[in-house]
Amino acid sequence: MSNPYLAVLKIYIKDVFAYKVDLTLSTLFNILKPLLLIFVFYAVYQFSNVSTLKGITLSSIVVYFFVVGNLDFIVAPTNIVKHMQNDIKEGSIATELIRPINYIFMPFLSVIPADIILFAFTTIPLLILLYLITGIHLNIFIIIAFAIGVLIAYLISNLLSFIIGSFSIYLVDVSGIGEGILWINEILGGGIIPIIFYPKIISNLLMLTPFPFMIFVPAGIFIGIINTNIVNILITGIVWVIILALISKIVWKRVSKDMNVVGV
Amino acid sequence: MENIIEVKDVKKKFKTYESGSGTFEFFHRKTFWKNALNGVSFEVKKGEIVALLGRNGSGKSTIIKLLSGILHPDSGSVRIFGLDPWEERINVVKDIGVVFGSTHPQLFWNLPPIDTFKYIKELYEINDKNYNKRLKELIKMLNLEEVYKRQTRQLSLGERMKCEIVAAILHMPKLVIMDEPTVGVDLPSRISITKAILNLRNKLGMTFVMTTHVVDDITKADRIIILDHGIKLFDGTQEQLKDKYEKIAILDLYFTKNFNVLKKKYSKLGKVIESKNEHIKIEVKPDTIKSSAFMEIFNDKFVEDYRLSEPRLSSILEMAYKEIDKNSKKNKQ
Repeated sequence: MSNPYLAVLKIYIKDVFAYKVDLTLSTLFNILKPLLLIFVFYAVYQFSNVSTLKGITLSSIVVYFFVVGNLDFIVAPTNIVKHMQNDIKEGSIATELIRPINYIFMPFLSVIPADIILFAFTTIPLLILLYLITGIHLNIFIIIAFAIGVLIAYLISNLLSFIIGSFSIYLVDVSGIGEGILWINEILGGGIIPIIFYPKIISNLLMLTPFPFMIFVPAGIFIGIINTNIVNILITGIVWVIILALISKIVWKRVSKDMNVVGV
Repeated sequence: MENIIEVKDVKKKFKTYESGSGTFEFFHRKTFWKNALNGVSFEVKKGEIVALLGRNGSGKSTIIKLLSGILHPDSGSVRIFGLDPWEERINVVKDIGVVFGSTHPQLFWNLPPIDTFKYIKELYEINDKNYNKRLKELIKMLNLEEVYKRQTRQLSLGERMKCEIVAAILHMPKLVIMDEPTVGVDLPSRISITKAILNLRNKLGMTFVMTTHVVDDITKADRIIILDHGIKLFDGTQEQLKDKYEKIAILDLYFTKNFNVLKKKYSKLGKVIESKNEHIKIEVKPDTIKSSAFMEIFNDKFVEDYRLSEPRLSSILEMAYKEIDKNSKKNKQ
């Protein structure tokens, strides 16, 4: 193995496993938020005295939030923002710029190991358990579409974080903006309310933005809320990935020039 | 001998802010430009050890960042191995090693240094044979046998700095740039770091550029460059530095009695810089002291002992900094 980028990935995997108890506990606490939302929707269905809302049953909502909770680490990628902010704030970007690698990949490589571990050890087992308990209808097409949807969600979310993190060169501390974007992701992306509960015009407009691709699309495909036009929806997501990747590259090029002015 | 570094008339300024100390004065912060380097030029040849000196804010760290390709100059040029380190950063950094002192460690805090060394091995594509041989030699050279497998955060500052140096030179770079590598490091560790630097230069012809405030680090340097307020004030050997700032020696006199009378008598030889417990220390210019004065000391029955010694490098640097201050005051007037 001699690829420098693989070397970076390997050292960050080791770093993630340095504190195993913390890693295990933070993984387990990921399921607390969906539990809370399930109780809220349980109350809504009970007091409305209806069996379906917008064609969705309470059991579907329960499954939806379990899936959302499982994918939460994808839409909460504040680690990239933190990594870039610390690099600028503490000047540690200098130690990364002296390596024969392109810095643009470093924030991504630093978060991928922890996310892969979360995905492999919590998301996949819990989704299998969910499938076995609830008997959701799954076939190979849905599984592949869901996998692509998760990848798109991960890329969109991290690219947005990279763009926010880049601005730490001017603002130094961008954690507040990162948190703000996280809440926007949750509200507009379907993390708190599935976006089909919004008025049709708003949900249609939202589907033109990158936000639903981070939560609603992968979760919707998995539980069957999204069952038509899946290929078109995924292509739109891929277009957003390309657009955000280009924006990230342009922003970083501009920011790295200004880094020279501000100094590190 | 070939030039490894060529810095020509480099200027660099940074945008910075200043605000008052009042609670709400951050609303009125003042933006201004700070000149970090103001036309600095120098060259470094292959195999040289060059010490960059200067007080805090003199521009030393900015030079280190320019040489490592982290920043680029506003005007002038920087060439490392004939290449622009900013434009061709990835190609240049393959052949340089950098130690940023204790401020920006490259060791992974939660992992033992051995993991960082393995990371460096893969990053710079060092083969197993070379890696094992070099690591063994460097570990032995810097006395790290008991250290490099323990978690980094549990190591002392000196141990960490020595491991930082291993991480910077494991890929056998042609040029090693070090920003205050011995800050907070104890004497035995400093000695082993200095020995390692000399060893690597003598054996492999590595070039070293280091900023430091520790006088002992400078004594092994082939050349000294002194910076102040972004301007190069001196570039030469230690001997040239001593010549520039006068030949001053220190005369130590130890009396048996009549301390005050003798102190007054011999203070005419130069400037008394210390006097206590029947002992005075005088800064003298040996060239201007008549031999009769030495004979008088030799024959004085109340002088128990005397010693004439060359000033230490620290005194010379102190003189240099005083002269810088004097000149800058003159320029302001």
